[in-house]
Amino acid sequence: MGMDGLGSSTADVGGSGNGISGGIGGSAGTAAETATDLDKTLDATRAGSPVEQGNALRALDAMTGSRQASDAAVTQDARTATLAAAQTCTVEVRFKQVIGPTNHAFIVTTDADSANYFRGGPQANNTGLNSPASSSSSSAQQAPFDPGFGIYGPIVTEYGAYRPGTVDWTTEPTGRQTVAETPGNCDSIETELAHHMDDIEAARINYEPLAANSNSTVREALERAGYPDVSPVVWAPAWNSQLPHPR
Amino acid sequence: MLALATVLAGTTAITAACQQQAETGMVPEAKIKAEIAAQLPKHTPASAVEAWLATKGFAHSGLIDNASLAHMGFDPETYEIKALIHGPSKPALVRTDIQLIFIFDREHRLIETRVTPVHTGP
Repeated sequence: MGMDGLGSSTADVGGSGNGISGGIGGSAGTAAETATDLDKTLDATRAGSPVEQGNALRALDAMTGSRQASDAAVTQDARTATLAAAQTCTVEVRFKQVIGPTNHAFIVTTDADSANYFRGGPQANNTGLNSPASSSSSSAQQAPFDPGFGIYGPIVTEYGAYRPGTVDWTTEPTGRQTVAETPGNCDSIETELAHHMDDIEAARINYEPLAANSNSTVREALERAGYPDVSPVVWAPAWNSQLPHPR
Repeated sequence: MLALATVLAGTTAITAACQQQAETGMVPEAKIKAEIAAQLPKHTPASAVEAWLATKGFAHSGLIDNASLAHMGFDPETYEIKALIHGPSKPALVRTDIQLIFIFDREHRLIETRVTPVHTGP
């Protein structure tokens, strides 16, 4: 029984039964039946419990008289799973409660390697204290406090790895929505979002809790990154406020 | 009239209590800065910083390799650990926490520390 067609390429084995039936030969009816059995067994190697999958792989070996088919099935599955995880970037908006029904929005990007956040907020809180300037890279400059702004100062932005201990970290967001799922990793989207966050901070926009705030910042950054028309799933005041573009 | 006065007095008392708790519950920024300066001088290993954060009970990010964030403008020659000290949970439109950022060189030795308030509002 020639199994060259089966063993020569993992794509042949995992892709469809056609490669298998072509290699098995025999009468048309027998080949079709055998191919169907192989397909069923092959499917079983990808479904069910680990024990059931192991049994299916052994059955595949017995049917083909070779380990090539089961090896190929495992390799194909692992490769497919790895590629699927590595090639998707998810852009989300998540929300945290601030007070009562009001929420604070922030962006989280996730790919196979990491999750990162992008957010805006006031530079001060009544006291006139400065808050961190844009980005947390060691080269970041502290934005000067300008008494010409209101009690909250201008909008400042921040981004970085989204992990416990970072400012917006929560395992229980009050809202969460997927804005986009795109092929590839998140690097280019993150570069762009970081750029927009920097621009928004550089525009020195007066933070106003119900007029120009963290939610406006998130909506604006998403819009500039090519994701317009995102509607928040919870109440996020000033979401639709238009922020001035940089000159 | 009496009922209104009682409500107002009660509200005032609650507000005062909340403010007092807020003031005493907040870890003073200056105190933290002084503690860090004394206990985590430059060149402290990242593992010692993590251990210090653990003893304080501060949630932290673990060591972040900024090389993986270079596409967002982070310095690829550094690592960092971020931690957050939650501010008082008084009802407010904007809340303030304290963010700690520890920057390390490629040998995981502390080169810079930042202690800054970070504000969250709608």
